[in-house]
Amino acid sequence: MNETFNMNRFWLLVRRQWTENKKVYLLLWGVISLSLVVLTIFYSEKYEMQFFYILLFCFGGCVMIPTLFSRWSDFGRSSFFLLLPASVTEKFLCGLFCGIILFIPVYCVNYFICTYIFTYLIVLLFPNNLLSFSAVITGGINEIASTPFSTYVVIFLTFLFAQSLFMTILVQFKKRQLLIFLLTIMAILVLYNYGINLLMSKILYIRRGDFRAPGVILTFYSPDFGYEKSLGNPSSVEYFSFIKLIKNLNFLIWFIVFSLLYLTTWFKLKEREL
Amino acid sequence: MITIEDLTFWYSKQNRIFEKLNLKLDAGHIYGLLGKNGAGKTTLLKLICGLSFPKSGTVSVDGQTPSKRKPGFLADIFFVPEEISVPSLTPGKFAEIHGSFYPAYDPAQFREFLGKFQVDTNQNFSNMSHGQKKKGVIAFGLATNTRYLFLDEPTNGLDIPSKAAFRSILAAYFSEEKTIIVSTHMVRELESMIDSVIILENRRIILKQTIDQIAQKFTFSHSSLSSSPGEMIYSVKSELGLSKISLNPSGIAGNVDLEALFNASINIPDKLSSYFEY
Repeated sequence: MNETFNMNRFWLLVRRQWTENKKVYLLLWGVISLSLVVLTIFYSEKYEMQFFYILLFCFGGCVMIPTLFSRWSDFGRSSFFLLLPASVTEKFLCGLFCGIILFIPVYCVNYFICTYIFTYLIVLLFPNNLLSFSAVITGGINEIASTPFSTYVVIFLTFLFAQSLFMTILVQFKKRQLLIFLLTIMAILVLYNYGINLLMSKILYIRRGDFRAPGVILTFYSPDFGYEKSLGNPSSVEYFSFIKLIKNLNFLIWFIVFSLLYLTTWFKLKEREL
Repeated sequence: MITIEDLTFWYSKQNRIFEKLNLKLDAGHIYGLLGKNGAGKTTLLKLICGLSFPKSGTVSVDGQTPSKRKPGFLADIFFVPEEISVPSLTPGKFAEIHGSFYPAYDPAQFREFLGKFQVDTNQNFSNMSHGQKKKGVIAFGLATNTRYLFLDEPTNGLDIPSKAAFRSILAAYFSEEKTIIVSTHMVRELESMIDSVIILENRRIILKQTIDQIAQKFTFSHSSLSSSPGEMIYSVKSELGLSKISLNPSGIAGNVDLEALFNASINIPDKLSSYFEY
């Protein structure tokens, strides 16, 4: 018997997860869909909406997890889960499968349907509507395609960070996990923002401006901070931006942080006692 | 075989549950695990299952370490906790999604046990009483046919006919390759069920004997008027009069009064254990 990973056992876990929690998942789907429609109808500012979309995305990704790991104070339920004949890796990956592999495509499709198609159907109810369906869909596709890749990276990293932190807290603590999560994330954001501000303004002397470096959550900085490097020919000058370097470093830090948090969850689950 | 060597465990260092505990349990027995509230019955089961980890010492089940919770080991054990909590599913659906994890799970047996317990396969657990839910989980646990079955206070919350059904199902289910541990403080309910007794008290095991060995050693009698031929070693007032434990001079096994034995173990542990060779 393979004691680490067996595909059959993994699918059995996924099936069990869906059968036991489909009501929660359908409810979550309904809440997200409704929120997306309401946001799209009542908010005209795209930037404001983006914040809520990310919030909804992270919220959904976090809600997927407690159905698997959070019932430690319920001895009957948690003992049954821990003693279910599957490895820790399979149980952990089942959580990731539901929370990432299934959730992200479903959210994206839902986002598109609610934001463009469903909203168009509502707009149709208004008289003198000049929009055509194909124009709405094409506009939606263009909007998604024209969004810079780094924006998606930031959204994805934020999602993974929130989810991995929530997962770790769920496995580590028996009670008040949501409160601990909210307090932790607030503390991290404050410390992170303070640290970034310190790095930018006091160490690197990058002045504040109207540019928001992707991944740098709360602060705006000037994009033109860097230096010009002559390539021999006076007319050929390469511009090197520090912001780009900070952005990539920032991505790398977040990548390491959430990877470590997922790894911590796995270890905590392995060592979980009741 | 379950082997526990020098097991020490605590939830808080000031209050140790077990101190250098040693125990060997062979296959082919139904063990009754007795002890007062807080003696550590559930904790011992949790340590054997791998839900808690020893602070020092070892626990092994057929050579495997429970705390590693490997699928091969987990497929061979089933634990029915005292407090049952089940998802909002019918027993049939519950067994369908969980049964496949256990190689020896028998769906026909599950339906048979549910029938004996008079639990409807198609009624949702959320509409059932605590006792009904418990019977559903016990039926599933028995139908998994694992070699090790651990039942923590299984008859708590069960009505009288269900307790009788449980006893008959367990007797029919039991076979030589299986090991069943039933933890309870309701000692009378165990009398016709178990073939060995383990009594936990004061961080150690004060008695571990088969019912036959106990019956050969002692006679149990009630009422102050009845006299036993052997030397009386313990007596206690009970609702039936005076419960007495005397030495059995003939060595012919009779009935064992578990309640009297339990009381004696708590009150005169050293004297009682001196009659058995360890």
